[in-house]
Amino acid sequence: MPRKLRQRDPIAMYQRRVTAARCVGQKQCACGEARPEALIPSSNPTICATCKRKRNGHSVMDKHHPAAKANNLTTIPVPVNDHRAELSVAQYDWPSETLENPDRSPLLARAACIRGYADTNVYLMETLLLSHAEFCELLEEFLIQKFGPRWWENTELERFVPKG
Amino acid sequence: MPDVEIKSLPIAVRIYPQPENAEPVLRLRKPWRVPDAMLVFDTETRIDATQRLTFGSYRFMVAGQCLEEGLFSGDDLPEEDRQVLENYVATHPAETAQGGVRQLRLLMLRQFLEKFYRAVYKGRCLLVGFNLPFDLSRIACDVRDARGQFAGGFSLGFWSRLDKDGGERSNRFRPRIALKQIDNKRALKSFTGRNRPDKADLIPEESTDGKPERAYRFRGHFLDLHTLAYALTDKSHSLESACEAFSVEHGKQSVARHGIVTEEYIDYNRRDVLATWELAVKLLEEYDKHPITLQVTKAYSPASIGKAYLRSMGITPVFERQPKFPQTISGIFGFSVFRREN
Repeated sequence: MPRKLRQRDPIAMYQRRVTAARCVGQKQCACGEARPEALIPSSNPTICATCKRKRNGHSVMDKHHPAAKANNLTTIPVPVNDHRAELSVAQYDWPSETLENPDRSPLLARAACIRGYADTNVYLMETLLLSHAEFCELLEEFLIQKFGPRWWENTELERFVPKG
Repeated sequence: MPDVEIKSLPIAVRIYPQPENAEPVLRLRKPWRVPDAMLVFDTETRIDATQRLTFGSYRFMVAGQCLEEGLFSGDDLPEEDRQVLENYVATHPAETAQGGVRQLRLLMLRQFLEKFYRAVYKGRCLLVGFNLPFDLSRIACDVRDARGQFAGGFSLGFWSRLDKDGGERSNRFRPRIALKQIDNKRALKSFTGRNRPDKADLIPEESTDGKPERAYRFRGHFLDLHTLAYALTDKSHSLESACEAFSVEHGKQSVARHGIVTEEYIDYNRRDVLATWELAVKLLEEYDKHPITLQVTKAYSPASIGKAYLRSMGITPVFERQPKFPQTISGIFGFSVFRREN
């Protein structure tokens, strides 16, 4: 299964990605954040949006409009760096009419809700689920090395062994 | 004294004027990485003297994966030809990888040129073709004499705008492409400057701090496989022979009739683009085997590669080693070589 949705306009997406990367050069924030969209352009020393907010005593969470503000006012709280580098970037790949919906078309508003739901699902899958799956697989390798292939035997964890 | 008729003959002498008190130019050799994206395209034309564009196709590849494929047609293509293209895209899927656009796109030339601008100028990806000057000239909307370093060559305009009276004018806010043919295998190619470039366009390649430089001009990454195949093999290849020489999996096919838009002809053109892309991958792999720092887009001949080897070995040109070597003597040597060549 692909971890990202199909791109609608790969050339535009590529252009935005490399332009953002070019603008920040090879810099990254002291916290390790290196996604170009999350870094503040022309900051010196380079700082990411989260660290800047922390420094200024502001919240590091943003209110993200999954269906874009023009289509639906529902918001969800997301870390500012992810908002800038993942969710907004995904929305730029939508048709601009759907994203901006200048005539407030109800049909485009629904199209935006579908796109927004799909984008947000991919984001949540990546941040909430897939990283844990990778963690479990690495931990499994570690435990096999440490305690052998049936490391769970004679422990509380035995009750989680798959039946059958 | 016999009556001898004296005829005057025009002669030309190539000279290299050395400005007085000229500072030696120090060339910075920054490491250059091949962009991970490439736009590959090919055009088909009428077979009459005008060789007008009929249609073309393109593929946009990122990290070796095709993410978008499409056809584009000339703006003045007759309706029946356009219909053939429309029927074709309705019945054929794009050959894209997972995550790419499934639908085979059909664009008008100006729509394709917008993509071209975003990918090749703004995104600075590789523009790949076989005999690029020909294909570039087919999609250009106007031509002028080039100036400066490209004097004697052509300056092609690709983007136009409407003026107050509704007339079509060359868009000065977009770059042109200057071309100068060196011989039948090589041509110099470069984006020209444009009015009011964006800040992001003024950031040099491999800049580490992302700061724009006012004098910087992005010249483009034009990869003509005809030239690169020549630089690597010292032979002038056709696309077909280059594909054979480098064992390309999907080599060039043939078509019974050129110049007429048919389904078979569109298949032939798409196959050419596929062959060109696969050839580019093979040639870049071959080029990577050379331990040299020369940009692949600047490998114009086997001598370019030879000179790059000398640089990699630490052997610098004579005037860098001996800056006080008399220029006049060098001029005499140069002139004798010129005489022998001509």
